[in-house]
Amino acid sequence: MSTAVEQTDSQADDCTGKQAALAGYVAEFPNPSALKQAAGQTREAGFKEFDCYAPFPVHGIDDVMGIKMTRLPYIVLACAFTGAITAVALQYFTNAFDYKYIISGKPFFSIPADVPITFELAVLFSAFGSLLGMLALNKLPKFYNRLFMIDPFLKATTNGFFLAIEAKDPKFHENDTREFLNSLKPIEVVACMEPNENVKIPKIFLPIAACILIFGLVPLVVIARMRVTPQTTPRIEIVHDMDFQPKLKTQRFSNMFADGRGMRPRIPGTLARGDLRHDTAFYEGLIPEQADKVNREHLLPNAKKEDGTSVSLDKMPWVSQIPVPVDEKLMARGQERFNIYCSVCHGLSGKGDGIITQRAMKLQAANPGVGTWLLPTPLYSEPVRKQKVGQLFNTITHGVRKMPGYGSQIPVKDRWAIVLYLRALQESGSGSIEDVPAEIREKLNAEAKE
Amino acid sequence: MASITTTPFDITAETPGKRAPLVTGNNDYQTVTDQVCRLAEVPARTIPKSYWVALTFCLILLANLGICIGILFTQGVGVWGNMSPVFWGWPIVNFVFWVGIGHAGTLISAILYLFRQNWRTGINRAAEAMTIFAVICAGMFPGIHIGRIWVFFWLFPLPNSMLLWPQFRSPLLWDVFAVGTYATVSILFWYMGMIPDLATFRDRAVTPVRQFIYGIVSLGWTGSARCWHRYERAYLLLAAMSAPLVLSVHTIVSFDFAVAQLPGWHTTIFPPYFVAGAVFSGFAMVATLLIPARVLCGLQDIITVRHLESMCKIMLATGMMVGYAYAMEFFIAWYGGNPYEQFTFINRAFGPYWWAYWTMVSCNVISPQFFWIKWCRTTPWFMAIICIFINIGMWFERFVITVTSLSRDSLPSSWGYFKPTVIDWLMLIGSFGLFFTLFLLFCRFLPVVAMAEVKSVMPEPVSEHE
Amino acid sequence: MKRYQFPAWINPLLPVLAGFVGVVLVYYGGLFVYAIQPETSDVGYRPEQPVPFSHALHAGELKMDCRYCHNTVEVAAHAAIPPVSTCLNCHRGKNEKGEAVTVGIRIDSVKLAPVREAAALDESIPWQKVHDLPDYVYFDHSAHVSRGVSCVSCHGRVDQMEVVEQKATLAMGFCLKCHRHPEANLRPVDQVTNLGWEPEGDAEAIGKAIMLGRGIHPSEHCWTCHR
Repeated sequence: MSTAVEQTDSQADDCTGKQAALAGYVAEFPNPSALKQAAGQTREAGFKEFDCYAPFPVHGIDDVMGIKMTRLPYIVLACAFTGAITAVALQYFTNAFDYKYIISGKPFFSIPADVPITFELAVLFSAFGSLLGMLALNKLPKFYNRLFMIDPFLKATTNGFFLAIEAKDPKFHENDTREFLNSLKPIEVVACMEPNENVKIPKIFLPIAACILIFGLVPLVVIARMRVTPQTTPRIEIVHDMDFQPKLKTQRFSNMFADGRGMRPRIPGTLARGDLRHDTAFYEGLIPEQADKVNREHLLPNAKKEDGTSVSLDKMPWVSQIPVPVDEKLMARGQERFNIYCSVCHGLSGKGDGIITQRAMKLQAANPGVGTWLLPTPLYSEPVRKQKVGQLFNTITHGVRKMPGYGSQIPVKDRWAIVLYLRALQESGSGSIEDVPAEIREKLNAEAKE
Repeated sequence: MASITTTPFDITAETPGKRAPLVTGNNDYQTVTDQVCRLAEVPARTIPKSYWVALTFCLILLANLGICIGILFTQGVGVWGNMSPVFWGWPIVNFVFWVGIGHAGTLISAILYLFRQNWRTGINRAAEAMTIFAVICAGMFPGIHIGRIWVFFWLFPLPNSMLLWPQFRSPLLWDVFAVGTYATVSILFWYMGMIPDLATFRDRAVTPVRQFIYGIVSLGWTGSARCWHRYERAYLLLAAMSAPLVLSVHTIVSFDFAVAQLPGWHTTIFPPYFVAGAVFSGFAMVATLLIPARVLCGLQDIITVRHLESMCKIMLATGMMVGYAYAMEFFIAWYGGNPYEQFTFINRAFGPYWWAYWTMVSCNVISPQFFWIKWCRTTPWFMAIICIFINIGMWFERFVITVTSLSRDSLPSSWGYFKPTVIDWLMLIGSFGLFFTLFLLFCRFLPVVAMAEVKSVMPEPVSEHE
Repeated sequence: MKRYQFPAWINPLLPVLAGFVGVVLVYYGGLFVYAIQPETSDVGYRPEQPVPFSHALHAGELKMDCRYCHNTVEVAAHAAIPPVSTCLNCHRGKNEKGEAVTVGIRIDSVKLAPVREAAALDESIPWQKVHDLPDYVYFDHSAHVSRGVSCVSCHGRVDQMEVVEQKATLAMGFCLKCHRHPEANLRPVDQVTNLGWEPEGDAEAIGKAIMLGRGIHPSEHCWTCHR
């Protein structure tokens, strides 16, 4: 390709077959000095739209051609400042503002520690600035260039030295300019044609772009749908990291044991440390001196003696004093716990009208056989009032008659708190209007009348 | 077209007032271009067999690297020899070694350019390519040593659902930025330098595929004087920025050690010492690559003995600097009067790793002394041997610094002895496979010499036209 | 051979193409970020449970306190999933002799069959964990609940959910946001299980007062949650 063939301006038409317009003349020169000399004469002749082409930068041709100093250094300087400011801002925002974390007692923000990254980003930004700035100022990339159509011009990147004058120069004249170029003693002068004036982007790209855009919406719709719909499967984890460790966790499955439970039930006949529970008054509500005589089986609901008769719970050696210090805090605690565990059936006042009881009774009335619910005894009724605190405690622990026990659900001290609150409920539930202080009584009466 | 005839001339002689030509033989612009383009343009079957043998060998090493990385990912970092107390073992040694290698390229392109050292034109392209490939090898090690490669992006300050940011007060993060910037800027510099040469490839291409591909990558470069003007300015700016960048990179790498409080690491001499060592090892690697490559590509007229000799002189100078630093470390340990520091250095030279220390000293300080002799500087095969020794010595330097200090630190009960595993060895060898594979591909597909720059320092041809 | 020449329209196309590629990159970058957010991947997890237990009925309509079933929440790291016996408090069927030992409702319900079966065989019901943190996170319910962080802050309005699903991301950022500025999620301790509680007046000021009153300074160190 690099063999120079003597060519004239006969390549008027290209593959399109269209008559091409004259875009300028290209003259080839033998060496850099000749090119430089020719460039000087062209400039002196008054041409503005001309350029020289060489395989390497020809020393001194800038001055001869009158090329002004590029403004690239300013672009690069701006980039460097942008990089430095970005770096300082980044380091300040991340380590001194958004995520303050003390590490080795180092200050959150200090200029010396910021120097390396500030320098690096300044260089990084300005490196992009100089390459992209150079390309932009040179209007590159420019893949189509009419000069590439001229065969001898291919030497311009190997060993050819060219000078081109464009037709758009005001001084350009089809014949005069050719004469002028010939007068510069070139190897040859070639006409440069412009076969594709005023090209437009083919219309085909419009539907292609539209298709890409429409297909681009598909993943958005898929993801947006995923975001709003509940999933029954957990999220997809490509790499588990240490999310699932082969260790035993509370209430989790483990294949180490036959029953698949990670937590172990207590082995019969053993006791955990600190779980001896020898203080029977606190743990069982029984007077310690007499507790040994009590058959613990008889404390369970609906217990029967060996002879088949019912156990009389009232005659058990129950404690009559709450075996923990009684204060307002315990009372408040008792109220809270009562409201959590007891009020669902017994109602907030202990009357036996809890929401669950109401619903259960309603359901049973509608469909007999759906349940075996019974109305609970009002907690302020006479028999319950007569019970010692130990018996009330036992009832909460093991249940009574048809009531299930809450011993496993409520800690011991909380059960005593509930017993205390129960006594308060019984006081209020069995009182009469006479027990209320006079001034409040009137108010209550007034409210009742409304 | 003109041709330049040169009389037989000792291009390595230092005759005052007489400049030796940088390109020898009867070469003009055309023949220089032909020589540089030859390996990239000839059909595959005419390429010397040695190329294919070398490429096959390197690809095998590369495959070995791939397998090792696969093992690493599936098994975890336990496949390495890193073990208490040496947690910074082999991978960091390799990282620092490769980053050091990657210093010669940009140094040649940038610093020698600013100093107007025209002889750089023959070797700068290959050296820059080598830089980039070495930085790729280097960057690989921190990338894989995090163990969980799929979260490598945690190295960068990206907003995340953990509301965390990287720790900007740590030299390890400075390292990420320094090496990342260096790799990026080196690639930009390399690519920008190649644009005019890629245009040469495009214009010489005979098949439409090559015309298309090189047409794309050369961005429509024409060699217009107005373009050259901005191009040279941009090149100068990049060189001016790259020069301090080169110095900063190994400085920051040395901070990885120097900012720590470990005796043997916590020294202020580290930045200049590391930079000198990096330039030293980088030039050794450039020479190791170019001595066979200039024969393989037939570029003896462009990469001349004079180029090699100049590199030897730089290696001699930087080798002496490194030797000075070794001596100074001992002096300061003694002069500073810190018993822990003194112990560390005595342990370095006479402790369990004495063999590594003395390998390092003999390769790095003694072997370059041969370059005082002119015959050694101008005999390529001898140079190649010395350069390989320097490469080995510089690897050991990083090994000595990293491993000896860590293996015996302040707690004697946890002292240990670092033993690399097979995977460690295979990975080091594999990283050479990656490096040489990339270099061989570079020789085949890209301009190995900056043709435009070489032509600009050649004497102008005499016109035969008139 | 004729040289390959780029078509002339490639020059005007290039800037358009660059703009188009830029838009595409920004769009797909944004889409990627949108896709990998925990709001997409984690929120809305609603596994099928072995028993169609309705929180909306029990905690909502019947106003049962959360702690009736999850009774360890105030004292332990783990908020207990109730054992079968807790279900049996109200849903025990008849025993083999056909008599009801305790009160019970819906004692023949098919939906409750797994409960009765588990009780008979002394097995656990395989409930599916909805709010599951990674195993390297050590969250403590008691530390939060006893300082006035409501259930609703992390679990949403469970009392309105027929089937429980994950409402919060439970990502690390979700935790840290509150640890850095807890005032928005603090309330009087006795209102912790009142999921519909609304602060009277300025929520921020109330939260700040509670913070000061109880000396709440949530830790942000790694080892607070990771050991």
